[in-house]
Amino acid sequence: MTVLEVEHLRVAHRGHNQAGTPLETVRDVSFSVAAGESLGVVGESGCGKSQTMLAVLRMLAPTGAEITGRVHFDGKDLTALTPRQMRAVRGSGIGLVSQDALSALNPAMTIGAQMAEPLIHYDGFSRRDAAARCAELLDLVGLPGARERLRSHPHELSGGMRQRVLIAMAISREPQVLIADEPTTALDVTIQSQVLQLIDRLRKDLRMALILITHDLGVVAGVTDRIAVMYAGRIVETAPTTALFDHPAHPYTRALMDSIPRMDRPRVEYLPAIPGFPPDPAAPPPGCAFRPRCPAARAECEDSVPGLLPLTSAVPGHAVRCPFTAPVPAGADHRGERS
Amino acid sequence: MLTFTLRRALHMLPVILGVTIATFGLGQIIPGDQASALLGPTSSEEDRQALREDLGLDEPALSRYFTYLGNLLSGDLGRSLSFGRPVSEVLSDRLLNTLLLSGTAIAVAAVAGVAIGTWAAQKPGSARDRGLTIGVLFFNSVPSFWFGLVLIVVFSLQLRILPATGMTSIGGGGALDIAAHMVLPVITLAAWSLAVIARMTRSSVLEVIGNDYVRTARSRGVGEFRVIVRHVLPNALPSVITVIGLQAGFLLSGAVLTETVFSWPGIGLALHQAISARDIPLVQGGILVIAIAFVLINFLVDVIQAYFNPKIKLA
Repeated sequence: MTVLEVEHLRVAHRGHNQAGTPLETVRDVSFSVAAGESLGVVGESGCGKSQTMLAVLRMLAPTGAEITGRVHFDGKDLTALTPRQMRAVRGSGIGLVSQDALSALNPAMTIGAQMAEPLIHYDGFSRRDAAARCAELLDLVGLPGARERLRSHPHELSGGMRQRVLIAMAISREPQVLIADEPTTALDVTIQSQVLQLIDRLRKDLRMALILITHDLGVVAGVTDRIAVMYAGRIVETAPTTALFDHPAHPYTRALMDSIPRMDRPRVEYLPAIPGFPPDPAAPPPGCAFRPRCPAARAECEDSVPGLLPLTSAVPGHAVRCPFTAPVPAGADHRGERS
Repeated sequence: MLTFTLRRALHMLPVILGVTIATFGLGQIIPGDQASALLGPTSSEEDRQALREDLGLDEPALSRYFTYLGNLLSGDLGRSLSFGRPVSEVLSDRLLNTLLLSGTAIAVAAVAGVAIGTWAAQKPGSARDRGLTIGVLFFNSVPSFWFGLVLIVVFSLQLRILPATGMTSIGGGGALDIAAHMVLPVITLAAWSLAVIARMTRSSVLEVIGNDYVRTARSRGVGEFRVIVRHVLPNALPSVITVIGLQAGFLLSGAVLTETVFSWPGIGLALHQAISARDIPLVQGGILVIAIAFVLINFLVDVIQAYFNPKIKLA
């Protein structure tokens, strides 16, 4: 059952340049997640992944951000709600885990006070019940000494502990959808995998839909059911996780995969990097936004933005925004194409 | 918190000692002879010499300083030459009046300044934000004695709705009467500080409101009012409180001008009269009281900041 469905979402910021042309950070993004399902959203910095999620929660800066499209959640169109109705969705309908664990907790409040705040003020918990619930949540995310931790201030906790607190806070009001925005960027590699496993376990135990945003394909590989790859504000490829890793179709996805160091491939002198830079959102290139960096670019690529179309003869649900791609047969090493 | 408060309180002692040295030294370097100021230009040299001996002015400076310090400790600030009464009596009568005036002014400036600054910061670049900038510029450019005079001209002389000078009307003296007399001097005193505090609050709130933890609170469904009061202000206020503390100190010294303009019977007016009359003991006493108030305010500021920011206590 689909719990969150986003249709043709666009985000444009006005007044950022002198010409007055709107700066589009999200262009026609559509996706959906079902209860208990997990979706990975992958792309490099500035591709619009965080903007998409902030637009879903309607938490972009109030000045100048223009959002169009529809966001269906729990039988409502979130874009049509009043600010008060929207506030009721945040936290209790859709939870958010922020990316920087070090700065996402209020330094002037104890862990317990900030965890319990919405429970006491909006969910009718007594102080005692809220404290008990918070201790239970900290136990659930594997933070030792939960009772004492409630009285700690954020600066007394390590980065990994703070990320666990943030996760506990995000699930405290039992949301149906959990959005985790780069939940592991500020953490050590060993802690990263623990946090990812924790998020995955909570999704299964609590039957939440999970949207995991990351720039690291390695992060989503083990955790998500489906992946959407974003580039310059658009989804360029979406597929079930295994299909995407086995048969990446879009040149950008393939280039991303090539740049992951792999133990099971022959060692190379230099890890391939994608040449060039992502396009300036204020002046995107005509046609396909990846064309200037694409190894397989043709003259036609400049004519129009290709649609996100299902791949024929592929796994159901595999769609790609490139008409000149054919799925690479299973077992073939797509890396050979570029050398 | 208690150890921090006690330790910080101990830090005040050397500062206050330094203040006594400064006030004493001030009396030494001010030109003019106290004896001739008291006895007038027609007095004889013998009379003047006798008075100097009587007042102890002929002893060496160091021994006079220790006498001065010893007297201070027993609450004796010397004898006012122009009032003919102990300085401590003259000042204590007026201290309450000054505290009433500047306390009200700083309270008005702090509450209104924080409210206006926060309100403007919620919509940076909006009409209200630009209005704040213009207001700040205006009130920080206008000298307080001129502003006070303009208020008197408009509200007392033209509109005739508020009294211009003094603390009570003749035959009056009730709380309402005093409050009416306070309105104009409080506005005059508060305007400058209010502008400074509003500007500081605006920039401080703008800085904090973009923080990740504010986003965290919003993402959990916390309402905007609670976000401001519980998450933004506690983190934005420490720097504002420093400014409020400084302004409170300035208000006490600024009271000299304002009290003179409005003939408010406070320390400032007494100090103004003492300076004109070359009444050195009263000048010294007045400055000492204001300086100690300044030190106490800074102590309070530090304690309040430690309360808001738990990290300070560790330092």
